[in-house]
Amino acid sequence: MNPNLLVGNSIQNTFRYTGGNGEVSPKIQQGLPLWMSPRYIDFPQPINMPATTTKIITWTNQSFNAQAPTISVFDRLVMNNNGIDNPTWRFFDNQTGRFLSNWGVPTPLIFGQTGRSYMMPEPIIMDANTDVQATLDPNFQTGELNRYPYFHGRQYYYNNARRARLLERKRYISPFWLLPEIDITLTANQTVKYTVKVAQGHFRGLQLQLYGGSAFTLRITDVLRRQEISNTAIVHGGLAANAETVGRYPRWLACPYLLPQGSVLTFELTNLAATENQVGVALAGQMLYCPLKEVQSMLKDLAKPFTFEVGAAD
Amino acid sequence: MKSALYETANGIVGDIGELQTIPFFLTPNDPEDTILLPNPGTVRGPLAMSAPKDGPLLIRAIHANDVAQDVFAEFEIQDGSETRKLCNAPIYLRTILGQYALPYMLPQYLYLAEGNVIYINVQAIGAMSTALRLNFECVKMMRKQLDKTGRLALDRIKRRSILSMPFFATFQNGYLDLGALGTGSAQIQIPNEGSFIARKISYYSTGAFTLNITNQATKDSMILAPRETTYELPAADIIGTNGQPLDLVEPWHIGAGQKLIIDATDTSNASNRIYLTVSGEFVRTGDMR
Repeated sequence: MNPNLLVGNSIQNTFRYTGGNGEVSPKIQQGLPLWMSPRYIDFPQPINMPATTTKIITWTNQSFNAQAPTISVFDRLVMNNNGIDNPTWRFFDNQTGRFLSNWGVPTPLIFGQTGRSYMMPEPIIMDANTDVQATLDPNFQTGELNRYPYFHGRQYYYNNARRARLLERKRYISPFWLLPEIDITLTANQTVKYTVKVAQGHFRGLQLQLYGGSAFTLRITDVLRRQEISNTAIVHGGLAANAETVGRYPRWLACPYLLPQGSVLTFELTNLAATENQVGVALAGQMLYCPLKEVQSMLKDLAKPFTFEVGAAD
Repeated sequence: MKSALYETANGIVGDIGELQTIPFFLTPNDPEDTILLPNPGTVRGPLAMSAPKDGPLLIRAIHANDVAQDVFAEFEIQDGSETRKLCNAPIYLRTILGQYALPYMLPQYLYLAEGNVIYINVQAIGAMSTALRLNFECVKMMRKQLDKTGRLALDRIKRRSILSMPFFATFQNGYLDLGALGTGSAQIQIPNEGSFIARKISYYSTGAFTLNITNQATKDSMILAPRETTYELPAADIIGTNGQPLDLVEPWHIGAGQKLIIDATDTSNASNRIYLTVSGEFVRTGDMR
């Protein structure tokens, strides 16, 4: 399965624009690149992130023309200072009422820089005048911070057919990060096991994200199906100097890892170092909100490319 | 014939295509999943990487946490009572290890049946402590949950694997040494048991160099040039390293027993050691039983 089919690339966005004198232009791309900042009073100053308390920030896809509502598709999150010394992020989509992770996600696992982006396994789709909130938790911060976090993607307008198609996708699929725990710090040679239940919907894992200051091993077990995803354990070498950079270069799984709702996973981590080791683990993918038996047909249908024409009749 | 069904605690819900496969990481059976090579010259093996017993694996990529491995390795696959080599000579691992989001994609899936084993023999070369953390990225087919389509696909994969499999070809003695601004030549010998369809080329060297690769038997060369003239191009410009090898736009068929001749010239003005690996598909012909 080509993961790119599910990261918005299957949504072809070519259409013709009919000019005022009736001529039809060649097919052009109507999406505009967009960096969306959260809304806050001090803009354009950076967002202040306190060291000891949580904070909620909000992105709003503002649309000023009721006749031509915009819809935005963001597949990257950008924050130029995106190391481990940052808050964790728990996103909440106000339109759907869904969280996009079971725990706050450490910054290195979801934020890239503009020239070195992290491609999310599923884009965040925002309809006109809807919000996505993030709860910032200073789990890994060592002090007060000031940062510029952005959503990066594209904005579409003037096309109800596209908007309807994207909203249909959003109804059934959300990006999701499945984490064993919010803050994993292993002591010397320690082994810990976490249990996670897939409760929100059916989780379709596409990426395995790991980072650590030192080497550690990981075993993931599907308890109900009694399946491990490795014969022994997956080793992460850990790069002390670049511990936070590798998380955003995820390992795309050889095939999607479909975990029906109710699945229980255990994550067993073993620190191979004789010193304390801060690690991050996430399965990144999609949360599917439909009956299990309709998952395959839904994915197949939403992955179909579509084209359409826009003119005076749209 | 009934197809495989997925049953939850609440009852059977029917065929779910993606539940027939799970991603799988095949790692060495070593206790810490790390092959320790503390001293230059350390030899270890054969080390086993065993497939699970409840479903075959389709191995698609090689990954290591540290690609700077000054190590030679030979791979063999035990398929029932038969052992098949996956390389013509020990491979310098730096030429075929990928990392993070860029694993080294095998030129074709390697099929590993339930309970079968991949054996690795490794030899450390460099004067550094080396811990090799290697794993193969795989698709595990859940045999008991395969539907009719899945079983047919698996059957085709299995039959194909009898005839062909991914293969790594490299210099017989492991490397080619060049003097400062010197020239040299080395051979890659294809086994007599079948043909080799080259698809990827990658290298590692201690300095810059130019090269040309020629089929000794047919005189076909990688570089389009009049056959009476030899050209060489910079390796860094035309072939890749580690997890980003050159993917040949057209597979290159090398016949059974033929040799690839690599002519190289150092351009770094210093002594230069070159390792080069060509990967592709080995199609058996001579040893059909």
